[in-house]
Amino acid sequence: MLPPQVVERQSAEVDYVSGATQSANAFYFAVVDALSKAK
Amino acid sequence: MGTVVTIHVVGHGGTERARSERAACIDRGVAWFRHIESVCSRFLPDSELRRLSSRIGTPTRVSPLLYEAIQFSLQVAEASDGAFDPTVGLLMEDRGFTEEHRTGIRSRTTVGRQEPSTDNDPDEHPSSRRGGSPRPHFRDVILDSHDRTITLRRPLVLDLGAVVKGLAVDLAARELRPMENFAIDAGGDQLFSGSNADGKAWSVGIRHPRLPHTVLHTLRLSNGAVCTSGDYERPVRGAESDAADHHLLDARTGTTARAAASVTVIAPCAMAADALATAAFALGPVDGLRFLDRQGVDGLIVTPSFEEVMTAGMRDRVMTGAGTGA
Repeated sequence: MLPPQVVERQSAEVDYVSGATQSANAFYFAVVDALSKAK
Repeated sequence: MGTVVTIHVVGHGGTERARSERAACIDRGVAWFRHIESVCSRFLPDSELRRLSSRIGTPTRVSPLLYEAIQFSLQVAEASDGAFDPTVGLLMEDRGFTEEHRTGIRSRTTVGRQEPSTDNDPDEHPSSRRGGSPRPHFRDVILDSHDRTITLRRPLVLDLGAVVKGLAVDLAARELRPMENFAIDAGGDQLFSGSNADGKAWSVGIRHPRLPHTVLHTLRLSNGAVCTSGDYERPVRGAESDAADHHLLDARTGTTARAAASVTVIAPCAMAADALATAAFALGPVDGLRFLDRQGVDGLIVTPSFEEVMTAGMRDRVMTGAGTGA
């Protein structure tokens, strides 16, 4: 369904995510939180 | 405005004095959000906007802030040939957007609802039912810059949702200028200044419209605003909607705009980024791209089949290959 490069570009290594409403950022910060806990 | 506001200031934590200056700037920035909501909300019954909506046919003197917001929204309406139209407030109410989507403040106006229709034509659009009067149009809003008055030529409710959040971000940014390096995010209306904590330009990922965990492209910004309008996140809950309806309308037809899945715009200020993204969304990939070019901003339009069209400036901005942090 999706071009593979799109999936590969998945990343939490950005300062902010631009998306409709703030849920995209809510996701981003959840990932960052999870990553920092994993360290 | 039912939105989580995040303000991120880099540095200025070295001394007690720097910290208190930083806190004061942030407080002044946040105060703009409350102020603008009290003036421009479609959902608060005693907002200046709602009071204006109750006065039909008479010039009403308004605050400079409300005047500015309405004037800008009308300019975008004109530039988009009415695909974006701030007079869709009643239509939004008909589609179930009678509450602030996060706070749950419920509000439905009585404007133009005094004459219930007896016409049961099933093909008739909901908005055309009010006493048979045609749907309001942005040209029904008359500005007088000399007296700073606004006249509504027919019953209508203004929806400044695509303008005022960005306006609040821009005014907050003005308060934060002394901090130099900062980012503001108000429910997707984002403005960036200077650099991040690593001393680099802020990196901003553009969300895939269907995969919340996936970033399509990454931008680097050290001064400017970004906003994405998408068909995900705010489905219509009104009785007359179908499952694929959402909150972004093509005001020319009064129906859900379907030619785009998301539009991201980079502009010097958040008010322009949000309003132009909303307008380009309604226009769709072909006319929308032309519109963004004409407005002199950079933008990316993703279609429901994930085709991407973008302005030349946006193409230069999106980083390709290595270095995206993937």
